[in-house]
Amino acid sequence: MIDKSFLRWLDGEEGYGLNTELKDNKVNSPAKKSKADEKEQLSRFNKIYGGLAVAISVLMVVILCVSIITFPTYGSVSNPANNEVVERYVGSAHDETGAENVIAGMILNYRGFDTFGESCVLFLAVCCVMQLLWATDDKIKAEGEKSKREAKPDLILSTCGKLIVPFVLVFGICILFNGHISPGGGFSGGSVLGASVILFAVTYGSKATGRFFTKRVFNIIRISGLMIYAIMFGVYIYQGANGIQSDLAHYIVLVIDLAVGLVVMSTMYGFYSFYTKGDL
Amino acid sequence: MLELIVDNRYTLTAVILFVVGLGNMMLHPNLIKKVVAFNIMDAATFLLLASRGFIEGRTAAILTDGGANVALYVNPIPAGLVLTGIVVSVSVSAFSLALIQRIYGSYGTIDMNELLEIMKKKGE
Amino acid sequence: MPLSYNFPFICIFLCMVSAILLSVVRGAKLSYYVTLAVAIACTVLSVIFLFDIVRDDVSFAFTMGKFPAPFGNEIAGGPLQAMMCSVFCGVMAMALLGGKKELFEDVDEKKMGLACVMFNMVLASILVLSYTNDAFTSYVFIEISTIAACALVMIKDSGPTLMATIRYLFMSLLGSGMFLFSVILLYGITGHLLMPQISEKVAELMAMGDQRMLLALCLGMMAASLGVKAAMFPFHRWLPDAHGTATTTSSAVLSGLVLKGYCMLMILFFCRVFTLETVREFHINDVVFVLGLAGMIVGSVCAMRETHAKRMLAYSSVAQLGYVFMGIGLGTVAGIAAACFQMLAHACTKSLLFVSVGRLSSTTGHDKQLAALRGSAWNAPLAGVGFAVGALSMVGIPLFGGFAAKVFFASASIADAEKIVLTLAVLAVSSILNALYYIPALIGIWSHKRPAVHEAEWDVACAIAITVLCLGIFALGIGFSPVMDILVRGVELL
Repeated sequence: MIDKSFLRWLDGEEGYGLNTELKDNKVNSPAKKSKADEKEQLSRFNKIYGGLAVAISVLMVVILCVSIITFPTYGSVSNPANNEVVERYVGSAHDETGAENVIAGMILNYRGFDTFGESCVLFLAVCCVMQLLWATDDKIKAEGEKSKREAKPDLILSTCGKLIVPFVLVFGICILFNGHISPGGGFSGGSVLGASVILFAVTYGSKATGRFFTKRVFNIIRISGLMIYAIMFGVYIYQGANGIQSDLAHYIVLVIDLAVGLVVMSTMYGFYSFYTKGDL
Repeated sequence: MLELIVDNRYTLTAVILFVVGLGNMMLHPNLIKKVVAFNIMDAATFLLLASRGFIEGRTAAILTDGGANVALYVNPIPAGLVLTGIVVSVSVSAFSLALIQRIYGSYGTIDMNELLEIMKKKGE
Repeated sequence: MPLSYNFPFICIFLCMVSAILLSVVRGAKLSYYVTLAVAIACTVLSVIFLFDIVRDDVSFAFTMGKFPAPFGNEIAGGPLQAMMCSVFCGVMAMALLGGKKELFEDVDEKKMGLACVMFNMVLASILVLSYTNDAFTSYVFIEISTIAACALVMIKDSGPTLMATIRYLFMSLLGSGMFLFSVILLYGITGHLLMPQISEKVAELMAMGDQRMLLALCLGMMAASLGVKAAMFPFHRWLPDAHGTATTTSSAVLSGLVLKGYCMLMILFFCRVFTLETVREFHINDVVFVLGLAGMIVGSVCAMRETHAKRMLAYSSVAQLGYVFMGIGLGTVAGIAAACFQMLAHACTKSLLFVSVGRLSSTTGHDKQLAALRGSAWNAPLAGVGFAVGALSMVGIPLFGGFAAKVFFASASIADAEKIVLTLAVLAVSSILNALYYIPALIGIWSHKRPAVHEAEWDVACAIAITVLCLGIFALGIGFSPVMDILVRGVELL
């Protein structure tokens, strides 16, 4: 769908770049003068726009500061935010969701639909990055070579990496599995796990990672994690809304935490991989 | 007055940071800096949110007694919301950085003014 | 609870689950047909739900999980949401059908699955934004809508679309950042995230006269942020690039549906969270009203100066969205119902116009300059008829959907002695302006026959889409009174 002139311009044959522009301005021929006028117009517009933006920002700071001074005081028990909802969450989270980490119980059970949306945002971001950087045709590959460079593993990095990787991996798994009873959970555990895979790729080169983390594995982990979440939570919502009794609520937190962890891990590594080489 | 300001220090900082982010997002021609500004804006929002949850003299909402004494723990809701917000802002940053990488690949610049000029010349 | 009350939730999950699965589907055709099937299934489910809820005449809350408000997430359904969502899903299906050929040409075959993910997610986010009963859920789905909509622009992978995408993305991020900020301010002063509970607290605060400035600030920021995302007048600059450069289906979906999702959310916040009295007391509706009027004029004037057909249609969207904001700005039930009617009419009309232009331009080798499109209607007569129907509806000829919307705006403004003159005057002026650019374009495409650059073969999918959307416009233009009854009842029940 790209016209030829655009491709020529990409190859630098046609003078659309900035450097040629500067040359043009030095030559003061009348035809180029209108261009200079245009440029002046643009810069004037930029000045007006900048002034306006500063004015709006200053105005906003003043309005916000003046009105926010009456905001309920920081740290006080009598804040409107400390109401019956908080009491219910803290008081019954353990009985109702089986989670000692109230936050995990809250985001995965009481407000689980929000969290499902949030996982979908992550999923969408990976899809968009794939759409943009997945080098399926020569055009993106050619563009990619301009801007992408894979880091070569150097001595210090690879030595330290070899030492650290296993610990990071175990730490990630620990956070992931203990998410419901201690600080942590799917998102933090998943990102530590993802970081360990990235570190592995940096240390041993992405070919080594490619041996176990292929595109197929990436897809399976990502899709199965989200599908577990979607199906389990869909059933849970259906039961909850129609008043069907079940004790799904008690193990939903642990299972969904694991599912989210897998999704986050594959997402993190997916970002790294698509950024550096445009493929998995 | 001073007492009010001290009491609301986190809120006020959050507001100022928010507007700093907003203004930079409008003003900066550099696309990467726009992404940074957006992240400042989001961080300010999270600061505002987190400051809502804190209650003087209480600890994080990890139950050690099964929730018998509600008055021991801070408000867990803002923490959950911040988590959601962070994930959203990470995703959006990743998306916009990928987009910028592609734009750099095809136009060779990430300055908004230069890009607009190039677009204008091509008549699009 | 009747089974059909589960349908909103089932529609939402259907879209999201199919989006997740489609990201690994290899076949371009398969993923396209799955997306189409999902959109049609959602339409059918929404229509059944609409019949049931209109019969029962209630608005109900559906707990997303075991715990009712204020502890768990909720969605709320009523006649208004059911009506809007039925049409949105239907328009989505028709946009997919109408732009099919161009979609397959513009999108890389391997990435078709990813493009279909975005269509599904956009539909899911629009459904959630219409049905939501929770302020924070609406933020999350605003972000989904933002990312998916930006991705819809960039699926036609070329330089200009990348630029359009980044401008669209940054503008949207500004909007969603402000939205989150105002939701948190609201949470700080009310302590709740579910709409009914926030509404109670706001009513309490208003009665006591506390925190008035903060409430006004929240309301203003919310209106501004949703205005940025729905291309309200001073923030409309990103729209023509984004909608004008994307592929046909994306343009139809973006113009016809995505903007409407934000308008629906604004209506929900105005009616259900703050109540119309509060909004009127803070005069936020007056600001929205004035900006809407300005948008009607400015959008039309910009559209007149355009020579590119799709950019002209995009600017016309700014003008048409101005009508919606004018209706919301009237601050009465009748005004909001009229705005909803306008959204329905515009969703059908604008997607019809985009589909028709896409089809017409396929006979000229995808040159979408108005000059190149001259006489092209003779080569693709059905698309020419579709463009004619759409253009006449936009201008506001009786029997077409756009006319009924204008009548409702005029009758809604009667109740307000201060706004009636302005409303009627601007309605008249903007109708004339609409005519000034749509009628020449219409005459242009039906002028002397020219040989086609590309012989366009018969395209069944496009023909179905154009026929259905034309019928939809006529249905809205002739059978407007039952539709309007449902909308008015729906707004009252919010």
